[in-house]
Amino acid sequence: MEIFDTLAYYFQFPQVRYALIVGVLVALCASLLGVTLVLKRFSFIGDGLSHVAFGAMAIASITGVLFSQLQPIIDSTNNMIIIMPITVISAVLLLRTGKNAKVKGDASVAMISVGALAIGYLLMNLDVFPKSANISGDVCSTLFGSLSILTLTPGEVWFCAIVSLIVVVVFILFYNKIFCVTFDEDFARATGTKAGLYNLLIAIIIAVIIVISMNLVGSLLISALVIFPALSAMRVLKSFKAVTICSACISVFCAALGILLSILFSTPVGSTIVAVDIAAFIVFTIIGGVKGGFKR
Amino acid sequence: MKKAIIAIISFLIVLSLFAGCSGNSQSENKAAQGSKLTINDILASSQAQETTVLGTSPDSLDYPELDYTAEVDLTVLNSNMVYSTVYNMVNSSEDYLDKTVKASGTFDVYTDPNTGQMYYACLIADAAACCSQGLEFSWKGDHKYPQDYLQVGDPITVGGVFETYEEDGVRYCRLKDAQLAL
Repeated sequence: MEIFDTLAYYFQFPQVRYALIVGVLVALCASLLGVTLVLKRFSFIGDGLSHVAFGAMAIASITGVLFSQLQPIIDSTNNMIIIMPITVISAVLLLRTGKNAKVKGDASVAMISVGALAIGYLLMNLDVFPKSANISGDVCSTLFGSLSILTLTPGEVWFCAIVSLIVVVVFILFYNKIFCVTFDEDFARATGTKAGLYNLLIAIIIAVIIVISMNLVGSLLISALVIFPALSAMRVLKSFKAVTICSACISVFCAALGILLSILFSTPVGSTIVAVDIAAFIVFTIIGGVKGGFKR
Repeated sequence: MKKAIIAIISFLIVLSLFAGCSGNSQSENKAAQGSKLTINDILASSQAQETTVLGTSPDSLDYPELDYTAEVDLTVLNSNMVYSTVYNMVNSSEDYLDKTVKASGTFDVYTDPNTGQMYYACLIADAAACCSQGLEFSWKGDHKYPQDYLQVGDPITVGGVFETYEEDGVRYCRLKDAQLAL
């Protein structure tokens, strides 16, 4: 009972309520596209884009410092105006690389991923920031999302809620087309579906999800939020619809449980959520194994 | 063949674990033998102690008691909650104006190089100890630094009334009329 009393007390703080709302919304959005990404063999694109978002955040921070007149528009908490377009453009470029591209898919993801990470860290360590700025703390917070989810403002919660709503609505509206493009792009193209357009749509949604997920789990752990729920659901279910719904439920449950555990036991939020996701994956693997025999 | 490889790997892992343990016990024995310590040993040991105190999360430190009833009592919260609440206090200061606040952390001092003005703060680290928030305070009464104050890095509990003030066009927060438990 002591745990429930502690939780009830902590829920009186607005930042805890904000964290739970944003956590659940971000987890829901990330899991929806997770199934598509896993099936399209794009599991690692989330990781690449999250590094791009980190690099973009460094650019936003340095722009805010160098052009102080832009501070009201770009500050450390409201720099989406720079991060979002850069990440979306990178997502489009990554997904557009076809079979005839000079730099093939996995190589381009790796190149953009490490390149953005290095440039981001380089920019963050330039001598333009005030001496008092806690750069290592900011980098740690951005990469691992240590506590940024517990320091959200009402404005950021509204932004996240609106973006999440748009993502869910777009996913529901274009569910059939996304399904077609996911399973057989060539067949979809042959039947008149504009596969390129829907790939672009998927790329934009992924980029948006990555950017809003940065607050929850940090850049390095976003892939876990996208991949683990989908893989867990795939252990026990077979149809696209069932896997998507199950993945969304697992993701929301794990995010909520992870946030509550991290608040109760004072652990870093991002890694606690990922640890719960890993536990869920193990449980679902066992269930899947018991149901249909263990396979690789 | 496969079983043999697994057995060898397991043996090596167990061996390395024992080696690690024996390494620790060796250093403990070394520390116990005070008369045989070299200057380097003493320096290394004092550095290790210093790192332990400064790097420990607020949860695990034994803070002194302060008889102060506060509307926002940060001493009963865990380090995640303390960090996020202080962050909110600094960023949404209008919500906390004139409220009594009690906090635990480590003592820190900042001297303005231009004016020589000293600022005293209670530093609060997050769970990962990579970020920290400082809560400035002005101690009630007439006190002189350094003789009346703690050393930087010492655990401290402070209670006071939350207020904001402006200096050179920048708004800062602090606890005024603060009481300390040293």
